[in-house]
Amino acid sequence: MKRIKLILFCIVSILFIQNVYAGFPIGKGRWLLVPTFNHYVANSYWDDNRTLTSYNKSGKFVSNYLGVYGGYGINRDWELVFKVPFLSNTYSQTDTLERNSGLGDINIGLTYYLSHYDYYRHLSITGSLIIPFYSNQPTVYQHTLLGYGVMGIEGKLGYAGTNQTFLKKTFYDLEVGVRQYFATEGPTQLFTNLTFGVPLDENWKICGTLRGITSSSPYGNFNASSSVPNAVNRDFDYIRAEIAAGTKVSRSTSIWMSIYTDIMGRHVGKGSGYSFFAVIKF
Amino acid sequence: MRIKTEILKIDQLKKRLWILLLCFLLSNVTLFAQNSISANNIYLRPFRKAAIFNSKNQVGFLLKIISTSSERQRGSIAIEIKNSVNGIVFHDNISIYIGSKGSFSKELDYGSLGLLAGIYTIYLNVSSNVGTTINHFSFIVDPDHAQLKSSRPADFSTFWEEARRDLSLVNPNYQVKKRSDLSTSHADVYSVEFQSLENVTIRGYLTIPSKRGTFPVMCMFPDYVTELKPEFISNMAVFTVNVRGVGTSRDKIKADFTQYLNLDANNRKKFIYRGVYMDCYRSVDFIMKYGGPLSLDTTKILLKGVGQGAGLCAVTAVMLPKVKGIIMERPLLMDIREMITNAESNKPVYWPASAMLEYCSGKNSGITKDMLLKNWDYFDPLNFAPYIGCPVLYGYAFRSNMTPSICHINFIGQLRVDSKDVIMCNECENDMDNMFYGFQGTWINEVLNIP
Repeated sequence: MKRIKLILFCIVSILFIQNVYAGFPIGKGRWLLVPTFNHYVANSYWDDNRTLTSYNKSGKFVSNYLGVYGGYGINRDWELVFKVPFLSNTYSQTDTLERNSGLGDINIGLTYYLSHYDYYRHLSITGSLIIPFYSNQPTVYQHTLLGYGVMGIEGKLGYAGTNQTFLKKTFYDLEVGVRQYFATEGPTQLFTNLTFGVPLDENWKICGTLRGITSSSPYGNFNASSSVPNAVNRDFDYIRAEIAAGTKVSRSTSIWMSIYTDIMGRHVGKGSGYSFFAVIKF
Repeated sequence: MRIKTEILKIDQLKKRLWILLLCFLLSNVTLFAQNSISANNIYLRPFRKAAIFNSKNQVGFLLKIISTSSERQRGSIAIEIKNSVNGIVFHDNISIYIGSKGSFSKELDYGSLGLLAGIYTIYLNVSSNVGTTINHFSFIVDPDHAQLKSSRPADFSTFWEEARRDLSLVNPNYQVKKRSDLSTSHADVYSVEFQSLENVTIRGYLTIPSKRGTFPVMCMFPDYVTELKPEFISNMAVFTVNVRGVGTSRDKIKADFTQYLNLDANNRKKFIYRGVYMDCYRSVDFIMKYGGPLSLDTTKILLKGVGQGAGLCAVTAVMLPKVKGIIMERPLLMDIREMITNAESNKPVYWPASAMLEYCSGKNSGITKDMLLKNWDYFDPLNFAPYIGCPVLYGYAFRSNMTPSICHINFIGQLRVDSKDVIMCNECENDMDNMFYGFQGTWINEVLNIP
């Protein structure tokens, strides 16, 4: 069982890659592309009692993510959104080294804006399909699986805007959602991303984000007749804090850097990392 | 001596400003008076955006009456819907009871009336023990099939061709000077000066972001006798133009607030707006011809105007069809015929209709109301509407007294361009709400294809 506790930070890192500006409209006939590189390292974990413990045998999990999040504005109210991740996961301890890489879960979906209010604030709903572009081999990869390996769906409510009076020009992007994987043991995940940003000048912006997720399964982390490998963590929760800074490099592109760390959790690895991403609109 | 002369000039300027202010207040006295005595405010929210009902089944409103009186009110609302030829198509009477400073709301669903395509006006008369409040709002049903009145003169195009021919005889003599005193760390400001029709000198400010690149341009035209200063927009150049008789372009024409809109209105070939329209035409023509060397993207020009400036945008966009789009914010001097008709049948009479009617009744004008309206037919932005070929963003205040909603509905109905976005503010009288300004940013990005 110990092993189970150690694994699947990778899935955590897949799920929580920055979808910057996800709640703001892309605009009719225009594209948004956010290529991202993310580096995540964990060498300890929170157990079921939320006690932080180091991995045995100097264990260390590293996940590198290279992916693109994007969207296309079909019209002012509808958008096509997608996410394509490529992952490279490594788990090492004094007597083990395991590596796995490949395409992860691809997301594709539609966003509909329920209201633009005064066009400074936007309420949206997004439905997307999670399609695994890999097949799990739990006998080969025990620590570095790329995901649950089953289809899933995600529904998300977003509220994003720019303040016009109080805290003028600051912006926010708030999301809550649910994710359900199509396997007997799920899991079902509830998640939230809360971002608040401040423009420093015409080009520079900084923002802080709190991300939280709680994942549960009727079978906990073990099911003898499971279609999802038992090595996959299905029952956990955690909160991650992130700060990011970005600057415009051209009219269509801005580049960002972020650092983040997991601040509390249960039955999950405690890690931290950084990411670089560009926001390209055309 | 020079200092004394300067002080004298400043004193004179101050006096003129006071006179202008006084004239403005006097001309608006009815407007202010109405607001102060009214016991209730009437608000009407159409079931469909901007009071444009594409189908007769959709017609309906949410009526809200907000009392400003501390007395309890008992009374009734008389409702009448009239068509464009003033025929009553519906009338009703609703009893109301409003508490002290309270409100009354009711849904008015007229989907079952089967209104034919056309423009209608709903008249609301709230009478109670406290007093009477009236207001009226216009709406359009099935705009694609509505037959709209047109008063465009037969020689409309010839008239404007002639004006442009006259303008071409005036050497523009463009002068562009950098203004370090107005420039900022983010943008360089230039003063632009040129000669326009009747050799009147027109001045404006051109603001260009100081970073590298070429920039789309927004040309801004002034509201009624309102000076424009340099404007700064991120990643966009802005050309603010003070047309003749406004702000920095008052060398020859010094008409004040009350005189301006009637200046030579008895002669359409001398009417001030003939020159004003040509001033706008030449200013945009300048950007198109000479903007390239100034780092301006001459293929991405937007026009924006508030009040009177909105109409100037419409006219200029017709004369220079390469313009990418126009933003018309709560237009003034729009559909003059309907504005005057409305003023004659609804009291009190608000400016600018009051100023026009006063001018016709004056001894020195030598013009009747009909003659004035015939002259205005050449200048009314409404008559340019069908010829606009670029995207239009049109924002108007549903409760405006200066430009009644029927004038806006007429203009919107006459637009033939596919890309038209209309934002109506239900609660506004003389301004627009955040909805318009928020959408404006989205609209500009779309029209100019700005990421």
